[in-house]
Amino acid sequence: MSENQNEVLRRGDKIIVARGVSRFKVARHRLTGLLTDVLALCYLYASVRLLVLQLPKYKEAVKASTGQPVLYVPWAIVISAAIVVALFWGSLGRSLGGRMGNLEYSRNGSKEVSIFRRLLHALLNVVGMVPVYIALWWLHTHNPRFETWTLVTLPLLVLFLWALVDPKGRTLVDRIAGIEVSPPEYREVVDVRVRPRPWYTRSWGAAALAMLILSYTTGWVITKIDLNALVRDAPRAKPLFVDLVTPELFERTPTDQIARAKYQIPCSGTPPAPSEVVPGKPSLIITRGGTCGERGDLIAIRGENFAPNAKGLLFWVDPIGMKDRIRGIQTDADGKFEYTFNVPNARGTDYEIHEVEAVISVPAGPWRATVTLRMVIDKMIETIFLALMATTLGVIISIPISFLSARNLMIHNPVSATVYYITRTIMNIMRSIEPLIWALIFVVWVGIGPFAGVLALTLHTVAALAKLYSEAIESIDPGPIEAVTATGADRIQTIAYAVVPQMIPPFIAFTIYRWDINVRMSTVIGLVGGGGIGFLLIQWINLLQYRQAATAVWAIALVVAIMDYASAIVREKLV
Amino acid sequence: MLEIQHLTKIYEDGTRALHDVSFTVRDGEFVILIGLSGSGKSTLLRCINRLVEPTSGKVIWNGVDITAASPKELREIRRNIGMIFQQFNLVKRSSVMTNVLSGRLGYVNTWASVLGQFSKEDRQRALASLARVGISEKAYNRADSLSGGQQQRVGIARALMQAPKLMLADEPVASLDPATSHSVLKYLEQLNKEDGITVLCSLHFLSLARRYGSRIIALKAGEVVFDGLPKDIDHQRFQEIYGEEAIEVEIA
Repeated sequence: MSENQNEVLRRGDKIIVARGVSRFKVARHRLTGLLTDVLALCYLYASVRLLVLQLPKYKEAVKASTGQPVLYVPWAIVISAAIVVALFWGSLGRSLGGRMGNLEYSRNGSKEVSIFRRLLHALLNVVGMVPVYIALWWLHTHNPRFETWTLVTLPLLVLFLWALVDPKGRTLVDRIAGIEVSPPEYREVVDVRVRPRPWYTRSWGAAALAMLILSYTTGWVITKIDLNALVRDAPRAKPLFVDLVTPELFERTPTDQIARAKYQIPCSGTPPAPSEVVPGKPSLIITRGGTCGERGDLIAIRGENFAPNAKGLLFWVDPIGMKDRIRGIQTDADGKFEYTFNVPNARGTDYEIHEVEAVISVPAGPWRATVTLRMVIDKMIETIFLALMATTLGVIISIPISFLSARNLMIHNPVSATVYYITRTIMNIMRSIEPLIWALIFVVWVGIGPFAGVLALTLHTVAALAKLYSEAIESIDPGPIEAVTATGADRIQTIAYAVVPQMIPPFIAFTIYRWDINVRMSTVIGLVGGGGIGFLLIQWINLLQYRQAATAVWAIALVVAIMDYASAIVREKLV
Repeated sequence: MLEIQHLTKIYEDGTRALHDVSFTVRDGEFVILIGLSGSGKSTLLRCINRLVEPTSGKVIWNGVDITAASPKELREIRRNIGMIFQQFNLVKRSSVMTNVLSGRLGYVNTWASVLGQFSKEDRQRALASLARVGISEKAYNRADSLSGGQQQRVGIARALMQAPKLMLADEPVASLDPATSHSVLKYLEQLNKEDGITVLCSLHFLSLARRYGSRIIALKAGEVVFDGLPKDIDHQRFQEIYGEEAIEVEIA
């Protein structure tokens, strides 16, 4: 039977249409099937080995080993063994690779091949390959000139070389066993009486199921899922959550209560008079150490008549008025405090008067926005405009690019087809790089700030929208295009009158979708220096100032929610 | 005069849509193509204005070889050939007026038309075409808000804008009810008799073909099996065209 010629045979009550087969196609299918099986077996081996190494008995050994790792098998042996097992498995019927490559075994046109013949085929494959591998391995260990990769690939090449020589794509083993392996287009045996067995009872189904189960088990182990830790370490997260739900928004304008006590360094004949407690007025007195002494002397102070349960600071004021912070202080429920400290090493010539100053901040004024809130609002505005600029620029640039990436417009002549493939590839690459990474690049290029963020988001927007728009162009109804072309319109007129009107609803939908994404992205692009609120957020988190960070987080959530809602309304009205 | 010479079309997957089709159409004729679905009627019509490229053969119209025309020449040829379709092929979101005006695209400057600039004559012509098919009140409605029959009439108005000499109709009434079918075919008949436009129309129902056509060409599996007057199709011929189990159905 020559290639590409059909032959119809009638055998009993079955009609067999044998279409011409290309040996290259058969070889390609078989190679794909074999590679799939080999990959599946290697994967099974690797997963099982990983799981076995988790067992306590091997975990210690792994930790202790220095030279040869535990349970190590050289990869060449693994792959060679996998090839032999795959050939054996494939010969018995439908292996996983056989299922993927859609290979069927037939003999004289019938799909019913006896199990004995299949076992013969399988054993012949093993008998053919195993000695070859053993011989090659012996050669390799004795003469390193035989590289390990030849061990694996050479036997396969020889095997399939025969398949390319044979007109029907059969290997030597196939001919001896009298079996033909082929993709289903070659043979079509119509026999509806036989009901196929369920997939899990077949070897390829069982293998696929085993791979699935093993994958999830391996996944669980590799990602170190530990549900225990989730429950046990919950208290660690508690202070964080408390801070996160109490964002710093408003505060009352603090007014300060100040009281001072004089101190002379060093003592002269006329030390300053000690300060007194004045009723109703915040006062500070030195209770121990007198009103003069040397640097380093221990003095104790007491404050009275301050606001209760308030925080403040204690300063040492030198003779020229420079303040040096000693410590933070807090008043008790009566508005009093007592502290001890050493006289600091203050500047000043001898016998000059220094002062101890206590400043208690009392939140008593009118409510006003904290500095945090003002910074957040400022940056949020920058974030929103960042998203706006990036989306607009992205939309404008991506429209012409999307026409160049549309298959149904570009595939007609070789020049435009090349342009199509190049554009598609570039856009795919640009789209696979996350905006955060682009932002890193642009931060180096144009410096930290929102411009880098705009550039990064625009680039990614262009790549993503070009793909979405071009898919919309490819899915338009060809009818109106036919009709407009039939009136004698040229390409540009056809696009303007038949393509563009059909594109408007998906265009608007995708633009709004991208706008949503860009708003989210712009909030985090500041994490790498791209401007916007992310900039503040990452700094507050690094300084462990979680209350301020909470302000930023809540602001982001609010703005994103509002934008989502707004874009849903816009979409409803326009589309 | 339209000459089809040995027209053949074989698609890439091996389907033979047309095989050595030859016939001649004189100006002013109303030729109706009949045949089973898949017999090649749509392909034949589309090969005439080269919406589908024929594999071999020639289409010569008024001495001009359409099959050998350059893209620029082809546009000028297409200007004079109007076409209406089974699925109407209107741009759904655009207004009826825009759809009708798009029939004039072969005659206007590219960039002017992209900006929507049509001359006053063109716009008046559009309104006149719509009036001729009887739906001038729907001129500014969205095209998809019209009924099937109305949409097909918009298609006819669009074709009229081209001032065509030849009209190709690919199963124009297959999606319409019987009464509307007659209405649409009456418009085509009017164009044929009053304006002298040659019409090449493919239909499913032989009764419609007998009523409106001056000549019937029947296709079967891509080949011409009958070419003659409607009254010459007797029962035997009918079975040759449509197959042994076909029964003639009257469309009221």
